[in-house]
Amino acid sequence: MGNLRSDEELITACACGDRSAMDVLVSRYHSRLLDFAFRHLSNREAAADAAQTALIKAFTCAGSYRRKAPFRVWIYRITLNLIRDEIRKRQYANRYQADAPETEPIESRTPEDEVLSRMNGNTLWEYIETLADGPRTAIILKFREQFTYEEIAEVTGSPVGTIKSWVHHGLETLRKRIGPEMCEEQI
Amino acid sequence: MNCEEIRRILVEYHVGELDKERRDECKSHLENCPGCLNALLAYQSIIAEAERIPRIHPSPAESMSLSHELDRITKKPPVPIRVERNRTTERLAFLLASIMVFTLMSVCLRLESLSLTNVLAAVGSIRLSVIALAAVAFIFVTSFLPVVVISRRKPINGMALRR
Repeated sequence: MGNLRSDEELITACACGDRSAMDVLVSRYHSRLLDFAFRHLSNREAAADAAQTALIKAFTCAGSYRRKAPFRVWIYRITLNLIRDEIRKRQYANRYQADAPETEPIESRTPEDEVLSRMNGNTLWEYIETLADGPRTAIILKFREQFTYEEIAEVTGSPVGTIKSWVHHGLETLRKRIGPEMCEEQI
Repeated sequence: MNCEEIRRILVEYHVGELDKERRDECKSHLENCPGCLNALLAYQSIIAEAERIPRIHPSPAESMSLSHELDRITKKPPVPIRVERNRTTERLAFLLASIMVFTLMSVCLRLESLSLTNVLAAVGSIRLSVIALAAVAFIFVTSFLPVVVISRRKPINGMALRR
């Protein structure tokens, strides 16, 4: 029954102390927030702490959720603020984590897939990590979390035009950095 | 549109967020511009690969830690949300009760007119003292009973959990 309820209905139930509603939201968002935090902090422990803190904060402040934006926008905004706080506190120690999972094999291959298949997902992630904060966050939210430009603007607190510019700039930067291998395939 | 303008909207073209006019213009440009077409193919590959990067899942220890934290915050007694007293309702109730009491006193005393002389002449009456006591009790009950009811009512927006 809990899985049929919307996120907004569940967080309203959380405001009344409904533990089962909290469990449903945790099952929906814990993994996503952990992944989102990890993609910014590159540290498993810090990412786990940020994801847990975001969920706890959301449940303790559930009464202040006003439904002006979708719940997922609200919780991701909380998480991003925690990430930014963490980044301010320390520098990135490692760009690549030893415990990151390996990429799944790609089944259908196009010429572009041939190029990228020589680089596993973690290598592509290394390139994404080199982007500036804004473009990296925009690309993660747009293509991994399937947010709209307006939702990304709500999460980051930046205008929609800036978000579109970040996405374009990020992809163009990645294309230029990954580009030589792709150009060889296309000749 | 030139190549720079086309490349700025390639992502929206890829996800189908362009209106018909811009989509057709973009499509026409791509058919005649290998550079922009290669850029689109590159963006599509990068996007597809980014979507395929496996998501990190919480470990059992991390899930357990979160569960313990949720247990801790849900076991605390909830802090009830303070409901503001409605001062306007209180004042209106007091005014209405006062008018009703004064009217009742006038009827009971059977004053021909509401002059000060008539009121003072009835001061010594025992009946007036009883009526005055009843009036005070009536005013108290009608003025403050709504406030008591409101204060005991469940908060509208539920309990607020506090750390």
